Amino acid sequence: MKKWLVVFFVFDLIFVGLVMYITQKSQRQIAADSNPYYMSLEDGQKKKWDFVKTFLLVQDPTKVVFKSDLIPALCESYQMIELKYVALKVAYAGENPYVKSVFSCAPFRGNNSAIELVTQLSYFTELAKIESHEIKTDTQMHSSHLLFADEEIPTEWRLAEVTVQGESAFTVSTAELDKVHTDRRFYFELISATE
Amino acid sequence: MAFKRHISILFGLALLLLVGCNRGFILKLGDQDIFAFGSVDSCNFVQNELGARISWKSSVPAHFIITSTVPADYDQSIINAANKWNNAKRMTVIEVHRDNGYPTTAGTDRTNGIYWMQSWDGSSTKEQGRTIIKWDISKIKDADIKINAKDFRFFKESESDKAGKISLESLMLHEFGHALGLKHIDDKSSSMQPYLAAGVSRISTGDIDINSLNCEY
Repeated sequence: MKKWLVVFFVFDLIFVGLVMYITQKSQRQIAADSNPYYMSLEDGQKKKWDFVKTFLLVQDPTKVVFKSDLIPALCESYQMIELKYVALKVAYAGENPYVKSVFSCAPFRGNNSAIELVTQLSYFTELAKIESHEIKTDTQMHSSHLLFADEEIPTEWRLAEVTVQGESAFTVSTAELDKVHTDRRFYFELISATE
Repeated sequence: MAFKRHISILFGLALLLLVGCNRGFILKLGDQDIFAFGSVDSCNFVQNELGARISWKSSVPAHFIITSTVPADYDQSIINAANKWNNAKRMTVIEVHRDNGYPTTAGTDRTNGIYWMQSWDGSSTKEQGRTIIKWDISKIKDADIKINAKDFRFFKESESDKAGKISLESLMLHEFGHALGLKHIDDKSSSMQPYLAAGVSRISTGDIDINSLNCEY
């Protein structure tokens, strides 16, 4: 009797192992291949989806960092990458304030570890005070629209658009960001940087 | 007996493991089509990041205070502008009154002030006025209207000397439109056109403005 129970237990473990393997395998298939929306896309749209899927936005007390593993590859054939950060929950004369950060692709070409586009949070307050509303370096330009020296700087922001400039330029819109990233909102807050 | 108990525990663990495996998959990516419904017709209203229109919703009329910074001579022009919206909409969407004890600086205080500004951001000297609205979700919680008295002079409709001056009633009509949630509208009949020339009076709302308002109020 004991012998049969042991045999049965061993078979049961094998069965559980098989169920685990099949379940996890089918999960991977659903996530990667069987998303009906993704499957309905044209090849070019799939490439764009895959690009957007790599986006990550992280914030620390001094900067907001846009990351994508595909930046170096993209920069081989494009000239600039433009990030548009829009203020939330506030409008001046019917428009949201925004900050655009434009990065030259030159420093990213051939450098596979260069996957971050950094915008200093202090720029948001500085841009409001500069009459031209622009901060330029050799490889970056940051500009603002509807940020005023005599108004409170909005504290809640989000990444709203990513534009890749060059031949066959394209833009990733807010709707596309939200469509691809159902689990991330690309929001960030200005806290210490506003002082 | 003890052996049977051990076997039962092992079966129980195996069963738990089996149930646990199936809990990993909860959501399909295709289920997220709900975002496609987030975007609605703007009706010329400001929209939030999910596409919802920004307005006072059912909390109209919106109450505005003429602060002590505004010369009292201009009160009637401001009240006339508010009433143009009320009359066109056939309901009171804006109420205005003077309160000289009200703070003279704008801020996020959940009250709505009208300010006559003697100083103005040096990079936007062409701006005749500025309306700031702030909201939670999609409902306006705070609005302030600033009039650029540093770079512009204003006239009342009853005045004959209009040269080089801006019609305050026209400007306030436009700014109250923003305060209700409207954006600029590139239509010659609209009071929400972005540009107002000196000496010109544009003191009526257009059909397009009221059609827009009807989407939210």
